[in-house]
Parts: sequence; structure tokens; C-alpha cells
Amino acid sequence: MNKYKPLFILLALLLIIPYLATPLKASPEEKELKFELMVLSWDGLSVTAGEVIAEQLKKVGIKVEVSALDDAVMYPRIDKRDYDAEEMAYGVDPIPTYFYDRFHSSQDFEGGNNAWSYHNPEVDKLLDQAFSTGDVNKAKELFHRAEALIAEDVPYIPLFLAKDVHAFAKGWKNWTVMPAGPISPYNKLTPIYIYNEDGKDTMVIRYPSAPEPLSPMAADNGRALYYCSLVYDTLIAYDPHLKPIPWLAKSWEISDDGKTITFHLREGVKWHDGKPLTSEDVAFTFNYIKEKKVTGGIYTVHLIRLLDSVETPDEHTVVVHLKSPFPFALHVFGYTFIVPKHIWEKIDEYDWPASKAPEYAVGSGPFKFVKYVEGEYLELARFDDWWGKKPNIKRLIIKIIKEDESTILQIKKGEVTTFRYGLMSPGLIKAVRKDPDLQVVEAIDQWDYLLAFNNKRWPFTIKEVRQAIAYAIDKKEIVKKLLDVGIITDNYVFEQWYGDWANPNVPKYEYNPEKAKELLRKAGFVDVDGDGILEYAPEKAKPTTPSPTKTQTVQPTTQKPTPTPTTTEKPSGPDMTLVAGVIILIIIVLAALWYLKKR
Amino acid sequence: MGFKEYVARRLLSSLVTFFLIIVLNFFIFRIMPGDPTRTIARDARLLPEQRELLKKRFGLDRPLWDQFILYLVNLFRGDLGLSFQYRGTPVVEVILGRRMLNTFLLMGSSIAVALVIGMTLGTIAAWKRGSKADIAAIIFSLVTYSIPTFWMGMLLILVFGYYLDWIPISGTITTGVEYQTFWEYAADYLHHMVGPMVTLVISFIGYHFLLMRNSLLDVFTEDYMLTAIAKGLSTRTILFKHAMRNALLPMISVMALEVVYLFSGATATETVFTWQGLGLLIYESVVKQDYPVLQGIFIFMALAVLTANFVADVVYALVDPRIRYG
Repeated sequence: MNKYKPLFILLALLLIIPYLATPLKASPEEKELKFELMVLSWDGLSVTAGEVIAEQLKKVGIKVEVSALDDAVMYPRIDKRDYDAEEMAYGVDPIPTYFYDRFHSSQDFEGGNNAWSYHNPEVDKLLDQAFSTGDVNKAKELFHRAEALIAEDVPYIPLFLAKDVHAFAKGWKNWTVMPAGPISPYNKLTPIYIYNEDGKDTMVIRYPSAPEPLSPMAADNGRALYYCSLVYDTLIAYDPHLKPIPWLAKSWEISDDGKTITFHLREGVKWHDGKPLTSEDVAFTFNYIKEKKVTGGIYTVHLIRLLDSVETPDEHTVVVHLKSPFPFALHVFGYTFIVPKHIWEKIDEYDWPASKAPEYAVGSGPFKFVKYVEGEYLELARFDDWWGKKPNIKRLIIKIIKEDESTILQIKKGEVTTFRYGLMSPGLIKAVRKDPDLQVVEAIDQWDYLLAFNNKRWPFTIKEVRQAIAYAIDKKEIVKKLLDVGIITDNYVFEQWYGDWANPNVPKYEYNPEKAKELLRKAGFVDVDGDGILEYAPEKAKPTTPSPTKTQTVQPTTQKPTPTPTTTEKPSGPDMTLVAGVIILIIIVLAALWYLKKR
Repeated sequence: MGFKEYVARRLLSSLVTFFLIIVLNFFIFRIMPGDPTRTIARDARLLPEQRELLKKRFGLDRPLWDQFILYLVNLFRGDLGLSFQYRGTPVVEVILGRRMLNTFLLMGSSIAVALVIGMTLGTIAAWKRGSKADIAAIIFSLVTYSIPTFWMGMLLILVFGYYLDWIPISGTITTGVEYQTFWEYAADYLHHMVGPMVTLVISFIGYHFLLMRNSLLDVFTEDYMLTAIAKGLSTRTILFKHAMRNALLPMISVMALEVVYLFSGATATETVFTWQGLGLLIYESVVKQDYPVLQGIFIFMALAVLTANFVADVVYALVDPRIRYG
């Protein structure tokens, strides 16, 4: 053992080097402008975009350490606000309620959606007003004002909206494209209008994993919600521009104070078991959700909060009274899966297992439940007594296939029609786009990628730093590196999803690295030690900022002068690192020589 | 130490190990990063009271110590809790259903076939040691053993599933088919099993082949082999009656170790072919942080390994008397 002692000492020394080297670099007051950027390891778009951002920021003197983490590690850190910056996709749905969740200070709790800890009392006030009025136009105007303020503050940088890339097997025609793509829980039109030229009457949609939970009250993921959107009807549906269209309700009125919504139901609507659907069922559904505090469904969280009472003056009229007005109340109540009272009044636990589906899965939608073979497939059949236009297909099968590659092979063979989620891997998208055996459909997806800052953590507490980063990022380059599977956005409310809810005149940060550098200098960042990374040194930055062009020539002189009184007597960084390095090298060589001699 | 005492001691140590595994199994998932409440109550917009109701349903509102006691008590009642991802379905049902059968059939048949082929090839190779056939077999087994199974599976899918259209690409049965008889169902199932089974057999052969070959080479140096040859017995009898039987001893322990595959499945192969077995279930449960299911599978796996080891120990003791006193 003794013989190897020197070796162990050597190893220990090698481990210690980095600890010795780093603190010697700059004085404690002159903090380097660097941060850790978390990206989601399994999301190729997130990782690639993160790497491009790191390179772009390096050019303006910001050091970014990209760490690709698994969600089990990354999400808790975001929840606890224990991070510098993160870049990944967030999701949106047809109503921009996320606008409140992401920017209102009340949402900055552990796990809250205001993950950037953004606090602006003025924005809070505007959001409170916007989300408690029934007047849509007034709400829009408040949205615009809030968005302008937010864009000025840059709590995070919106990068791009991902594209939903779908491939259909040959012969299939007539799908409907809308935000979130041709196959999504908001798209009730595709399964009805799609048809096959060669007369195939079975459409097969691939799911990457099981569709559970099958209960429309517990469904809380895109797979389950899509299944529910086929089997259950809603009062309204969406047109390709996400405008509400009549569905179970043939018309509706909203009172002037925005606190009462009256739905007029279609007549002669039947449940899959043949019983008639009446206003009683609708009222029952709303009350059930509220009483059981149901966690699934699309907008149930808002429904529970808003619902005061439901009246059913006659079999085909439902009057909903709200506790307070809400600009999106029509969607909240309109896009709720309606369940049959005669079955659900016996169900105490709404979160029932899939084995109960043959008994419980009765809806009124265009397709009815046939069977579910666990882990394999879920079979639906056309409901011939449906009130609307009969779907062209007779059967719809949801098939579970794990791998994207084998899914595409099965689509090429015609065994599978298409898939539930758009393709995520740029490599596959590239291959699919040029495959003559496939029909490729591209739409706006519901995932918006953003670069988020922890606004409570230095240096992101400084507004100029956030703005400078916004100027320093070239979104065009990012999207190009991602093979064009994103659509650049500068808005915090997406025009592509919400139309005129987005502020068209929001301040934009066009790519401008010079401006970024200037902003950083104004904020007190200068490259003190000449390593290409800026340090926070307001004393050195301020006196020499008459104009951007001059500082370039002044900079060399800012390196040498004696340290300001506030900094400790430590000499500037690079020399010290060099000294430390040389010393350590000498020690290693000496130790090695000693060890060899001993042998 | 008599045989009975030996068995009793083995049994006792197995039981202690099992209890330790049960305890470890509970805490190891709580130490892992990630919060189980996040899996069930993932929506940040959920109202606090909704969150509480959800936590209560899965018993996550209780302190850890309480959860542990509950886990132990329920475990001995055969209740492994509710799955997070297959919401509301008991873990026992999730594990002991279709998935268990899928994995058992796939792994059982693959291991059996690989064992027979590997051992036969190993015996022949050992007998013709140094010949071209031997070297070719070694190279073949090293290559197949090192090929990643997912790649192998994808290759099979591409060639035999897509271009030649001989085997189905994914699943265990054809979707949306009503079977008239059980035999129709069985035929369809077996047709789907060809792909994953061939993949697994190819990847397992190498291991068994090399083990058998080495084990036999050891046996060949024994005196009784010389005697057998001297007696003028036929090559066949010498190989399969004298040598192979004695070389089987190390294979017993290998087989005992392979019992665990019956429960763990082969995640990569199952994923590539969407063969819904326990391996795929483990993978999905990890991704979705479905701790109850993971706990359940690990308990079954531990039970299988312990039982197999115990049986192997006993069989060894029966076969080879020296072991009892070792």
C-alpha cells in the first residue's frame, strides 16, 4: 500500500486543481457574467436551442453553461425556483389563461406557473381586471397593455412555437388543420371529415403509450383527452381558427354583465346506450365537477372556480350562473365533456380504472367505445345515431406503438393512418418531409419554447441584462439549426393561436449584438480580465461610457489600472491562474520524479 | 451440518434478505429525485383543495413513517397500492395481468431456445476445439452478444417487417380483430412473437455458448473423460452422456440467475417491438415516476431471484454433497 501513496497524492492534487484555480480568477466584487442554462435532456429541440443560445451569448461576453437534465431533476428545481435560467417548451390551449398563470405575482408559489418569479404590480392590476370582466373587447385591450409592459420587462424571452408535423398514410384525404394540428383534443373535425380514397373504413391513430385515464373527469393528458373528445360531446367545438362553433348547443347567449350563459341544446340527441340527452345531463355534469372537485378535463379548474349554479328551465335549455364574469367563460363551460346522468349518478369515484370502461364509457359523441385491450389498442366504432354529419370512417382504432421509427414504417405500409402527437425529432422530420410515400401536414403546435430567467437571481435581477440577452439572441439562427420546425414569435400572447388578443405593437428585440453589448456596459459589465467574459465592475464601466465607439479603444486601458479601493489586494485573475497552474504543474512533476526515483 | 439444517439456514437467510429488500424498496424511491405528488397532481393550476384530495387518495398526505407502515401492512395483505399512470388500477392488477404473461412467454421461450442452441453449439465447439468451426462459432457468438438488441430488433423490423412483410412490426396481436377460436388467437400471438423472440434468442445464444464451451473444456481435462475414451465409447456417448452432464453444473446457477428475466423482461426489445411486457412497464413507470408499480415489480423480481437462488442452492447440495460442508 505504501508504495502507491505518491500516486494517491497525485490523484488528490489533480482533483484539487479546479478548486484552487477558479476562485483566484477575479475579485469577489467583480462577478463574472455567467449562468447555468437548464435544458430538457430528452427533448432534442430544447437541447439544440440551448446550445445555440450559449454560443450566441458567448459572442457578447456572457458565459452560459448548458446542463441537459431529466425532467425528474429539472422540474423540481423550477418548482422551487432553484435555477438560473432554463429553456424548454411550455404548453398553451385555445384560451390564453396561461397569460395570467405565467405573469401574475400570485402564481409565484412553489410549483406555480410564474416560474420566473415575475412581479410587477401594474401587470398584476391589468391581469386582475382582464380576467374578471365579461367584456371581451375590454379584456383584449387590457391584454395588450399588460403584454406591452411584460415585453418591456422581459421576464422570459419567447423563442418560437414548435410546428406540429404529422404524416398521413397515402390515400387519406380531408383532414382539418388548426393550431395544435390535425389530431388534437381541440380538433373535432378531422375524425368526422377524413376519408380514404381506396375505401378503407378504419382509421388507426398511433399513441406512444396507454390512453389512460379513460374517465373524462380524470383525463389529464393529451392522449386521454383526445380519446374523450371522440367519445364525448361538448356544448361548443372549435373551427380551424379556434372560434367557437355550435355543437351540442345550437346557440347560446351571454348576459351583458357576463355572469349568465344560456345554452340552447339540440333536440333528439341520444347517448350511446339509446337514452335521450337532456339539459338535466348537462346540469348534472357541471354540478358533479364542482362537487367532486374533479381534476381532469380541459378547463375544469376554471369551471369549479366560476360555477355558482345551473338552471334547467326546460329539456333543451341550460342556464349557467357564474360567481364572477370571466372573458373565456363560454369556452370553460362549452368545452367540457358532457356525461350521462343516469350512469354517473352511480359513480362515486370519478377516477375509475380502465377496466370499468365497458360499463361507464357511455358518451354522446360521434364514436362509441367498443373495447380496450390493455397495452395494445382501443377500438371505437362510429355511432350511427349521432346528431351530426356521419363520420366517413366506420371504425377508429387507437394503437399503442412505442417507437416513432416503426410507426412511420407502419404508416408507409398503410397499417396506421397517422399519430396523435406531432414528430419531435428533427432528424425524423427531415426524413418524413422527403418521403414520397407519406403525406406531410405542418401546423402550429401548442408547445412554445422560451428562455426563462429566474428574475430573483443575479444577474437577472437587472433588467438591462435580460434585455441585452434578448437582443443578443438570433432566433432565426436557432430555428434554422432546428431544421425549421419552429415559427419565431416575439409575442407573449401568440397571434397564431389567439388572433387579436395578441398585441401587434409589442416591443420587439431584433437581433442586435452591438446593442446588447451597450446595454450590458450600461448595467456595469466590463471585461476586466480580458478572457472574453464580462465581469460586473460598475466603477470601471461607468466613467468610460461616453459613446459605444469610444469604449472599444478605451477598453485596453481599463484592464491594467490598479484595483479600486473596494476590491481586495488580490491581483487580477489571469496571472494568478497562471501562477497557480505552474505551481501545481511543478508539484506534479516533482512528485512524479520522486516516485520514480523511489522505485 | 446435515442437509435439513443447511436448507433451513438457507431459507432463513433468504427471508431476512427479502425483508431487507422490502424496506430498501420503499425508501429507495423516496430518495430518488422527483416528487410523486407532481405525477398525480401535475397541473400547477389545480386548486389547493383538489391537490389535497388527490394526495389523500394515494396516501401521500401522510408522513413518510405512516406511509411505510401502511406499505408493510398492505404488502402482507397482497395489496401493492394504486398505480399513478394507470390511474386507479391496483398495482397487482397492472403487473399480474397481460403484461406478466407477455413477458413470461417471450422470455421463457427465448431463454429456453437460446439455452438449447447455445449448449449444443458449445458442446460441438468444445469437442472440435481449435477448428475453423469453433473459431467461427466464437466470433459469431461474440458479435451477436455485443450487438445492441434494440438495433438488432430495428434491423429485423426493417428487413422482415417492412421490406419482406413476414412479421408484424409491433404489438402482441393484430388490432381490431375478432378471433373465432383460441387457436386463431394463439397463432396471431405467436406470429407477433417471432420478431422479439428471434432478437432475444440471437442475443442470448452467445452467452450460453461461451459458458458451455468453457465449462466443457474444463471437464475434458478430467480423468474420467480419458477413461471413457479408453473404453472405446462412441463420440456421441462421450460428449452428451459423460461430458455434457458434468458441465451442466455451472449452467444451473446461470439458469437460476436468468429466472429474474422472467420478471424484468427485456426493456430494449420490448420497446422496439411494443411488446407490452414488464420490461416496458418498468421503463414507462420510471419515466412517469409511477413508484407503486416500480415497487411492485421489484418485489416480484426480488422474490423470483431469492426463490431461484434458494432452489439452486438446494439442487446443488443434492447434486454435489461437498457443498453442505463448504
